[in-house]
Amino acid sequence: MAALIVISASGTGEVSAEASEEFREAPQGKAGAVSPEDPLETLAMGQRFGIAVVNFFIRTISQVDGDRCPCFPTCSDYARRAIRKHGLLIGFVMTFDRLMHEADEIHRVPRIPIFGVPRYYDPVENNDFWWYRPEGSTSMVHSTIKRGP
Amino acid sequence: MLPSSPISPAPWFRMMLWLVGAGLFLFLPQVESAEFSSTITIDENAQMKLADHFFQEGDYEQAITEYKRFLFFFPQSPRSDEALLKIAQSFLNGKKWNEAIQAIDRLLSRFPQTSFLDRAFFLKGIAYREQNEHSKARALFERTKKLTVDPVLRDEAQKEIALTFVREENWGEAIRAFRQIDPASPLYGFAEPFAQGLERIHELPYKSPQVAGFLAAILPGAGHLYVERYRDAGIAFLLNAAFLWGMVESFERKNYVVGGILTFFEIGWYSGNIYSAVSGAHKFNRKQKKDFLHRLEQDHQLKIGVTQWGSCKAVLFELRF
Repeated sequence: MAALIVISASGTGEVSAEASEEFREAPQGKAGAVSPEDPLETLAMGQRFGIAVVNFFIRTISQVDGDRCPCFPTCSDYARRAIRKHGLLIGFVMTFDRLMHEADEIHRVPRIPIFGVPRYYDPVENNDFWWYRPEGSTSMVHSTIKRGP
Repeated sequence: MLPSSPISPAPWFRMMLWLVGAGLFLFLPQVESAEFSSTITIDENAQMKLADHFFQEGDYEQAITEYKRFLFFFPQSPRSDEALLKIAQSFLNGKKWNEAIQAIDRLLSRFPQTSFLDRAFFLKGIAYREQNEHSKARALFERTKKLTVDPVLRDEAQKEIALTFVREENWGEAIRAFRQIDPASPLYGFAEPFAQGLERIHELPYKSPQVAGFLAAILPGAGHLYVERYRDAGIAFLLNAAFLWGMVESFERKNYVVGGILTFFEIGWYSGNIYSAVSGAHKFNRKQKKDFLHRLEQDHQLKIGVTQWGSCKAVLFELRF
């Protein structure tokens, strides 16, 4: 598809229509009532601690280690989003899951340009769709059914 | 007798100038009328045709501008509701769901008794369906069915109801909804095979998330192997093995700080490995269902193509059933 749909995800760039159709940005529900834009003060202590650790990694280790993650959101950004959405414990588990499943996932998800750099689209919604039902949603499935003839 | 001036033009040339001047004079009114004839007056129908032209070309933004221009210049037109509906349809075709809903709401507030009421509810239902708000979408499709006298639109609404159930993976309701489409309807050829296909959806080769999680817990990476994620399996196995080995070695050598750090990471790798295997099984199943539904949809559409048959070209029609 030629058309591009821009989604707001912490100002991280543009996402192809294919990608956005596959994994629609789910509205934040009760368990994940915190959006990535909310200030840290609204989060629980554990979440703030987890995000502080990730931020420390981004500002110190990642600066030296370089950009290694081929996905969007990057692995550290993914960790922050997962912790914000699901809390410290599940966010921690999901972060390790992400670090582990990159190798196969990049062959199964769409590639999208982020600030001109192609990345593999693997948001939190792609990995919690099977158990997390956003408030107000009647479906956990985001399969694409086009209209018939 | 005075000699003729050397600069005065020859008589034949003067005659020609006269003729050209007279000709211009004679033709001038016609030129003026030609200019007038190229000036056109835009009336309601012309403006609507222009907007429709952009709509049919797929230039929905320009079409919206022209429909809005129609509403600006002809606010009392009896076709205003049609223009508003077409604005909504343009937004919908441009995948701007919220704008489409707002446009329909404008139509309904300005023309609550419009003859396009059924169509408006239908389009609003589509916009909600695309935003995964299936209950709202279904309610609007039901209203469309009640209001419309057009049997095609009624069947379309019924088909959309069925598709919302498909999106919710509510197969039983989806099958029931598809089977409510009239056998005389042109949509029946799509609906009935779709319903039959949905009856077989449980027979797809799914992977059990429980088995994947159990295998991953027994041996890191085994769950990934089960869900056919071979690279992930290798990574999960190696990471867990390395950190577990390092952890045990550190504690045996009484290096508790390093052992503690490695334990922290090993807990992450081990739990992440189980989560990843279960998630992998769900992703596998999602793909199976998606591919199946896609095939189901594609297999019951009429396909037209052109091919070379010997020395002549042929048009092919293909309808799988």
